[in-house]
Amino acid sequence: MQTRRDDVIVAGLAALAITIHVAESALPSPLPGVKPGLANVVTLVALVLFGWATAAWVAFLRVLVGSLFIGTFLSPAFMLSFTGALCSILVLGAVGRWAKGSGLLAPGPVGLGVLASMAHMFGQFYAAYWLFIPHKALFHLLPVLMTAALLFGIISGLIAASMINYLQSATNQSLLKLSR
Amino acid sequence: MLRNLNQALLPLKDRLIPGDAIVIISALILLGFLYSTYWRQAYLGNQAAIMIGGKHWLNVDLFQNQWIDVPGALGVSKLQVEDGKIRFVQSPCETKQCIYQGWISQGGEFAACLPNKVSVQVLSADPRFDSINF
Repeated sequence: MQTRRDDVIVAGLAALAITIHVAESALPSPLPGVKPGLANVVTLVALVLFGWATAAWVAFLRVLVGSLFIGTFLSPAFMLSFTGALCSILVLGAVGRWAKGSGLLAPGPVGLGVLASMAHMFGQFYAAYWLFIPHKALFHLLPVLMTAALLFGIISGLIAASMINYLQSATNQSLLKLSR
Repeated sequence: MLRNLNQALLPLKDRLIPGDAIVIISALILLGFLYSTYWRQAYLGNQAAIMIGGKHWLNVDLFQNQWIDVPGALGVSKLQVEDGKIRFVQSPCETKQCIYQGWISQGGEFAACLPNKVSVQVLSADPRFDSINF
């Protein structure tokens, strides 16, 4: 097995995402399941600049290694995180494919960020409902959680848009040559 | 480096494209739907669930005055709905416990006719009782 260029890109982006993930886990959260999800920014950047496969690698490595660092591997928090990441990456795959075809109406980083974070929240919520708290009262939380997901999705999308622009313009020569 | 960073901080309007607006608007519509579905009941909570043999049969609005015939195991139980309350009025059972229970209206309250296998529970997002024993 040789290390390919793509592997280096995946490793670098995943390391960045894991760092953000771990740093974020130190922040207090007002509600279980609600956090800014800034590691999502890295997934978005990976998706727009390097394609879906890279984004999927980055997302899953982040969940796996992040949980090993925090010590939540295979715990309920990990299950929720994993299901959320799975849903979010599937939605990004579906929309990303469609977005490539239709030029004007395709969502940019902000739209993709909102889709990703809302899909993540939905997956996480249903995992919590099916696996841990199968009580209908949980659904009263859903609107609040989804509102938070929308807000944080917009914020991380805006950050990702700037980051993508930066990477595209300022490092045209060095970085993009690396990525075919 | 710093110059590059400045250049990277796009003005807000350049970071949003029409496709983003479509996504955000549909997200807002979804949120509206979620709030109206899951938060409305918390304030009304004026429904009752009728069960036959432990299986859910019908939900009734307690502010829609009506009579309901419920086909139970022995025969038809007659239920009356009036102004946010519900009660058994006629029952084919022998003891008539269900009828003596009278009106029920509080979230979580429960009336049952065991011989006829018909039961009613007032639904509410915030039930006052989990169960009531006699």
